[in-house]
Amino acid sequence: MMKKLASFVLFAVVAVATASAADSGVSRYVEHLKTSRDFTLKVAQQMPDADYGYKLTDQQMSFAQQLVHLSGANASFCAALSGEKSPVDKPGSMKKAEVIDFIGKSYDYCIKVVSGASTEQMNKSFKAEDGTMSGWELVMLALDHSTHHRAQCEMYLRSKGITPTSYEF
Amino acid sequence: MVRLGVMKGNWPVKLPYLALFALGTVPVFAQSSDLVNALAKHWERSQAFSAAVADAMPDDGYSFKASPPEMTFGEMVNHIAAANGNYCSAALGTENPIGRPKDASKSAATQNLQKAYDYCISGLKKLTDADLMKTVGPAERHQTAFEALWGGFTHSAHHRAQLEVYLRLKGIKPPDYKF
Repeated sequence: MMKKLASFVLFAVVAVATASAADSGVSRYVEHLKTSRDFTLKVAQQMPDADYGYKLTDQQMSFAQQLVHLSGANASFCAALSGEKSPVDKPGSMKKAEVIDFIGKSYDYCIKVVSGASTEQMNKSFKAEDGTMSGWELVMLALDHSTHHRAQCEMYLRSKGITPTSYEF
Repeated sequence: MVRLGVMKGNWPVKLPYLALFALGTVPVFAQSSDLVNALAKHWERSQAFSAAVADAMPDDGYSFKASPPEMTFGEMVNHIAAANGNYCSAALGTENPIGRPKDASKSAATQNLQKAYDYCISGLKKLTDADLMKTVGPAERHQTAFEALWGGFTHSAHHRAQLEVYLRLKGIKPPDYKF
């Protein structure tokens, strides 16, 4: 029984690996977007509501602003990829509950767009400030930019004596 | 250059990308090195951005840390270098040239940083798009070479962003965000 189960698991694993190679990697992109969403939500949950307006230095964005900024950017990048206007409404306030709701909705919109993207769409060329970018690069940008701001939020947590959740990719 | 950094205010988020529009179809995988070239372009920008952040901290700031449990600025620069050595070694299947860094001074750490980036980028440029889709590292992770390189790239962004906060705490304005 265990042996059969093991070979079935192995078969399933090989099938999944082959399938991801065959779809040129869209499913792997989606996986990393989901990890990024869950990681960002964990960081957002760690800060108490009362400290959502906290910032380490005057020039920086507050904890809430960093999270809203990265989520809004993600929705913009994915709207560009989809060719449509982002359907995600801005948060009604900078309170913890509404910011967390916005993070979830922005990422979920992105995940939906990328999950449904055709290879043609991912290969399309989008105009950026310094030239062009493919859909693949747009998603990389979304993750890189999110990582950048989330990492700064983690330092706000440290400064409040809270140990941030472990790094994930 | 892509600029998204240093933005204040709640909303609207003013992003150059709001102006993004589709230009037409350029097949990324039609030629054998389009994805390699795109990835190499962003790795090169990451190298320049990380070097600029490392350079912005004076020598005596390399022992600074924002809170006791964190790494010092110099240790974090070394950590980016060592991690990139690992990620890229997995992706490229070649020996990691970055040992365990011991000296966290500005001169030693910045040299490590450049050496690691040079190793990653020179190796990446020898690959084809088909190589990027090959599975590398432990089989159970199902990680492609592309993902290992992307992982190193994103991990660098994570710690570089923290180095920028160290700069802010020292009253130094960090370089603008680049991708």
